[in-house]
Amino acid sequence: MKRIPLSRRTLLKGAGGVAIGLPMLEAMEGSADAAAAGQKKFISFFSGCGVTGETFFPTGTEKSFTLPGSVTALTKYKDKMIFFNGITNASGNDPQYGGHQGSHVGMISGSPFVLSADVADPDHYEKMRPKGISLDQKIAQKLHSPGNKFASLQLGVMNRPSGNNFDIAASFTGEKGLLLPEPDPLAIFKVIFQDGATSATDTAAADLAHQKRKSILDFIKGRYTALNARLGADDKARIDQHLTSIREIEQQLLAATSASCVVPSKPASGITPEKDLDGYAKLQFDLLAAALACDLTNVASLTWFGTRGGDFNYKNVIKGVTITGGHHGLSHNQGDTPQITAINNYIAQNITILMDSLDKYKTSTGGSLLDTTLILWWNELGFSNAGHESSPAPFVLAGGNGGALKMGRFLDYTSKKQSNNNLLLSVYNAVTDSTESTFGDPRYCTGVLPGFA
Amino acid sequence: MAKSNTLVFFCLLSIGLIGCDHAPDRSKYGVRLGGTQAPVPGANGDSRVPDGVLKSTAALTGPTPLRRLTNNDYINTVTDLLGDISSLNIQLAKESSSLVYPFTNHATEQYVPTALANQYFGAAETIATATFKDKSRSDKILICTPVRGSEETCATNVLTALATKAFRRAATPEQISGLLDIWRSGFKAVDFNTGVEWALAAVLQSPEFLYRIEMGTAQAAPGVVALDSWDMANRLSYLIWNSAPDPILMDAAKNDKLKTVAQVSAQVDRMLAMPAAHDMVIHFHDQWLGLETIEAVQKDPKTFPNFNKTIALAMRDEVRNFVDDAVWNGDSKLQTLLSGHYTYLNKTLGDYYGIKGLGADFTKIGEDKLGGRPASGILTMAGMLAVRSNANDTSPTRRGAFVRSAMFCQAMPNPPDNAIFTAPVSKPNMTRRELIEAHATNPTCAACHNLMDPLGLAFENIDAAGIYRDKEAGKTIDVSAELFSTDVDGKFVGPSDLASKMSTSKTVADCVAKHWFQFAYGRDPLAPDANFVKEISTRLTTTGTISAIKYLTQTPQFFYRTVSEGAK
Repeated sequence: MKRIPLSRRTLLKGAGGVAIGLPMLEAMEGSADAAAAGQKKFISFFSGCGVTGETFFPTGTEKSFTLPGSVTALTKYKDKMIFFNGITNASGNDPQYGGHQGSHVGMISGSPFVLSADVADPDHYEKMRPKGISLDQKIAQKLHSPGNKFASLQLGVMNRPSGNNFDIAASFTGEKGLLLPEPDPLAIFKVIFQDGATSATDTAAADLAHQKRKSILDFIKGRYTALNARLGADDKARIDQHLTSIREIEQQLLAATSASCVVPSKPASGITPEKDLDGYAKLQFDLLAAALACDLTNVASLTWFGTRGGDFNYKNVIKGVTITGGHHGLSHNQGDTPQITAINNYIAQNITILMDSLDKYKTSTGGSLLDTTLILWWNELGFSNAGHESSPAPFVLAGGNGGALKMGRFLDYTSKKQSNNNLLLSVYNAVTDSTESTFGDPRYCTGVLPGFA
Repeated sequence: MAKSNTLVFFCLLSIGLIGCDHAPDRSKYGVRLGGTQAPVPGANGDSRVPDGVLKSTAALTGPTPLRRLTNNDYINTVTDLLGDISSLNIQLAKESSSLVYPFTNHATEQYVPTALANQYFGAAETIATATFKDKSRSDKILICTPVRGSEETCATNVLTALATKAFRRAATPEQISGLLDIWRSGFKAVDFNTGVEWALAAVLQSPEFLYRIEMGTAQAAPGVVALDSWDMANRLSYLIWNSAPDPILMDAAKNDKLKTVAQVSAQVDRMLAMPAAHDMVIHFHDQWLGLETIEAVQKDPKTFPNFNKTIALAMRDEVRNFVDDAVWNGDSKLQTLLSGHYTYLNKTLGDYYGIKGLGADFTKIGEDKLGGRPASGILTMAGMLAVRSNANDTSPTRRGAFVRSAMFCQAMPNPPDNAIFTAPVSKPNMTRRELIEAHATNPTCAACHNLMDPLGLAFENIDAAGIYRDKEAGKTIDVSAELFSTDVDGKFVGPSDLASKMSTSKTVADCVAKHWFQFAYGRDPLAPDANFVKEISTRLTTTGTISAIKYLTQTPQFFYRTVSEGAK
């Protein structure tokens, strides 16, 4: 429970300024304003391996609806959620490729996958790569401001898979642009908060690290610029990109010095999902919430385990239902609906814990960070154990959009199907205050969801 | 001939040769040579290209894109500069490669996104910090004792020596002045050593360190310049050692003694006798044969309870031992790599295969001692076939596709957009052959699968986890197979027959020659390179692999550099 500033921190108050309380520090609650007044935030929450539609989609009307077994845990925040039914995963629902991976990419990008020539393996599944850009990355392009240390962050509550990285990728910018989640809380803490200090209290070390990095960056920028001046066009394109990357590192460094923020306690090392999934997930949620509250970024994705090889066996954390195998294996079996239902309700429960973490950052006007953070929970399969199909696609919105989006609703499109591209477009326009007319592969997009805004 | 202890994997890594003046003596794959110099095969009758012929063909140099150190080059270079860094767990983004370009050195693909720049940044800090935490390491850099009041004199000496070694050519005043600025910040903020540590972190991510920047000298043909001796020192060391020049090469460069074929050839002969040259040959084959991912291979534990990561790594080491022997001992010919009727086994792998009486070290074993298991060079290696299998069954398709793409250089197209990826449904007592013949019944699939499946069926005696079997589903396995669309078409039986066919195939020799070209020059061969690829191909099958490697250092591609449009 430390309340320690980053280097050169100034605790600003009043118009335009921010002062951030710790999630753990109840005494601070109510007295601290959350991240830059009214700044909208977005979290893409990907949980892999599928839901079973029969226990996932609500029944009822827009304002009066019942939550079935896979999402009953969300009752706590029912008035801060939007549920959907009748969304088709138009670009990723190819019945011939089908299954986990083909659906996964289309679900969040509205574009089909490609088979990469870069993957030295003739196994078709290993070659699958995204063609388009994921929703969070598209939003990040719009919401990234120079004051943010990071354009976006990718976190994971998962194990690092030994095989296909694609299984855990929730964020991507194209075929070669997978942005992989970091599952280690300590590594995240170091990247986003610590800036070279050996402990959270070590501001002198952080200042020294900053001085060192600035002098190194000045030098290497000069070296790459000098090299660039004597290169032909082909080589220049590559060195230009290297130089741009160095400038981005510099921007992260400079942004860190002006951040006004209180860092959470340094996480312990060696925490794994197998040892303590609840505690581990909570740590990641608290770090994510703090990063958003500190304006280190406005956009994040979180991979809650992945598809296929990235799956998890929940036998030790789920009570009341006997779990007989990993989530991926169960998703291929008929008759495992009770297990899949229990797994998804456990994930739903964790979404409420993430919402709790966000809600602890109170504003002086009585709201919280949760009111300006929109979470999109998605999954690649809507009916995992029937036809292994992704449609109707399981999307749930949680949190708030700064009051600009009415929450507490169930939007049922079963009689007039809507593509996931339409849903992605609607969310994109809402979070970024845009009026775009298409998202992803335009063949699958007809416009924003009727009655959404 | 027993070869025990020749390759002791990884256990030699910890013998750090920090700042050693003969750094390439180290071998990260544990290659250990008897004595200090080993005989280099293929030297006899190895004609040297006269300088005059080189000059007259300079116009055929082809493009020379700026090359960045591969991750392997980077680790080797840092190790040679500062000592063993294996305990630092340096992470660099996975590099791209493909079946048609299996190496990670494709220059025009070497982009540095922010994530990689961040990794270079973090690695440089980690390495610099570790260097100054260990006096035995930092003492190699701190070549003078600073005098109170005039510390900058010593700092200048230290940084000049460091930059010259790290940048692999004489450091310029501009570079030194920039590094001194960094040193001053650290010196003022903390102390002398801190200043050097910060400068070291900057050196390790400078373009002069991460890239192989070539300066060139006089024009040899329109748009083509001859290399200077520093350029040549780097080309030699990164080709033959996948690392930085050693002090002997640096001296030769400093004295401008790397200009003629005779001077370069003498260095090549010296360099090939070092363990790092063996590492390079192993590294080529690891990538060409796709063995770098073998650690990640998993098998269904119900079907293959004995397969694990230790076995997978031993299978990789079997290939490495065999390759090292086939290339460096004996005739060094491609035919031996493809069809040598022997392998290398140790107790771990012998127990797994069911072959008794082996010791802890890898030993050469003839095919006749393998209890029926076929030994036909790299083609029958368990590691090769286990990588190209499914978790619970073989995959004739993947095995066939690999031989086609890696050895015949025939790119296998992706399945059409309307392909149905439903696995054929297995019935009781069905063999893999019967199962896979479903592909042949569907004309859409058959067009491509006929290129892969009948070829892959030749390997059915080795199961998905690399174990020999002569029966499947109660039936004797049929390994008759057929090659289509090659220069050695026809029916054959089993891998030994396949190896014989491939040993006479010009397409195969040309394909391996193309891979050596890629590996050496960081790009694909183009039309003007054709004659040089042809010569590499000829050497691979006549005077052998080492002779082909020597030839790679005697081409205009190696001696000259094209100045691309807009470059200065």
